[in-house]
Parts: sequence; C-alpha cells; structure tokens
Amino acid sequence: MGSNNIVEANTAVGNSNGIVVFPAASNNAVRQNLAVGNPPIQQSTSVPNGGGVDIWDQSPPGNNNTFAGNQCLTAVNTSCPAVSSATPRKPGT
Amino acid sequence: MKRRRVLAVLVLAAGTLFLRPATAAAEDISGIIVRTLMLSENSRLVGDVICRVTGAPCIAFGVPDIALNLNGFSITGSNDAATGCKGTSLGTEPGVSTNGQGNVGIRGPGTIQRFQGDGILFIATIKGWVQGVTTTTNCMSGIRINPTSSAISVESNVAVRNGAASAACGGI
Repeated sequence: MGSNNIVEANTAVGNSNGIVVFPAASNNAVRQNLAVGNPPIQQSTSVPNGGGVDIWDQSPPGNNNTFAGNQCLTAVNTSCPAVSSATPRKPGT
Repeated sequence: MKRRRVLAVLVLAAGTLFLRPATAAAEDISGIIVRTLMLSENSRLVGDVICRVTGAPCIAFGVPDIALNLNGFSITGSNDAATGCKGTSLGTEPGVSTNGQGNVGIRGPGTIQRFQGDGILFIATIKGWVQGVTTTTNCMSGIRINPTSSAISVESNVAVRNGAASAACGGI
C-alpha cells in the first residue's frame, strides 16, 4: 500500500493475511472493515510456519496510518477489538 | 465448394474477434482473452471473461479517467478453483492492472478470481477506486495498492481465499 489511501467497509475472510499495510505506507485510513479467519484454518494446520493475521501494520509508528472500527480477531501493530464489541458504520455517516 | 468457402470466412471472422488487437477500444467485453486487453474508454463486461494470458495482466488500463464496470460478471484466470494458488505466485499476471493510469476505477458487483498474481493491482496510479468487487483464489492479494500508487479508495469489496502462505500479501 502506498500513501493517502482509504480502505473502508471491506470484508476479508480466509486469505493468507486479511489487510496488510506495507512498511513504506503512510497516511492511510483503514476503517470499518471486517477481517476474520485469516489465514484459513486449513492453511494454518497444513503450513504451520506460514503466519498470517487479520490486520497487519508493517509500517513504523510515525507513518500516520490509522485504524478505526475494524472487526478482527488477530492483528500485529494495531488494536483488534473483539468482533462482538465493534460497531459497524451506519450508512451515510 | 461454396459451402466450404463460407465456412472458412466464418472461421476467420471468429478468430479475428477472439484475437483482437491489444490497443482496441473495449466498451463491451466478454468471452476469452488471449492477450492483454488494453482499455481505452469506459468499459463493461457483458458476459463472463476467461483469461488465457500468461506473463502479463489480463486487462490493463491504457488511458486515464476511465472505469471498468464488471456489471455482475466474472473475470477468471487459469488457477485451480479448489486449490487456488498451487503454492506459486507470479506478480506479472494480475487480473486487472491500472498500468500507471490515473483516476481509473473498477466497479462491481462482479468477481475477479484464479489469477497467478493479484486480482486487482494499482500500480503507479494517482487517484483510483475499486468498489463492490469480489476477489477470490488469486495467488497474491485480492486487491493490492503498489507503493507507487496513492489516493486510492478501496470500499465495500469482498476478498476470500487470496494469497499464498509464503507471501506477505492476502486480501487487501
């Protein structure tokens, strides 16, 4: 991911990773997405060293990438609220 | 004899349709693509597309300020539906590449699947968008924004079973 992008209201399920922000990325907004089950259980058991998470921020803290309102279960370098407590965006807001 | 001549003309005409020039305008798209289809105007699918392109994008934007409407249809590469990536990815084979063009977009609903590279690749693109598209069983990311791209909006898409265990890519 480059700079100044918006990733919003997407669903990512069963991928090797859900949403990945690459190291050089800056000023991106990742919000109100649903990312769960990344990687799929079949891959986790058959390729135990494959890694993979629902949301992975690979950029340094100063790059100003923001994560808000995402529903996920596993994450690296960003918070991952429990699925049940996240509130989906209302249309038009 | 006359019947054979008519048949030969029909075969040649059909071949011309499938092996269209790489720079042809493409307003309505369907059927089999064997070479990269370069979009030069707003385009839409009017039927499912099967891609037989190797080592290059299936569909690429050739000019800025245009959009591709999937119109409810699919673009399908050559990967296996059940096993997806087969463990090998090839970055030069995305389903749709923005190809350095600015202000371009892909609109769903529709599916982009089974490509050896990314489903959708934003590369060297300033301003762009993808909305309402389903990407699945692509070897790299479902939707990838290359570091040379910026001001891209990725909204309301679904990414399922993209990526390989060995690569740090995935849904988006």
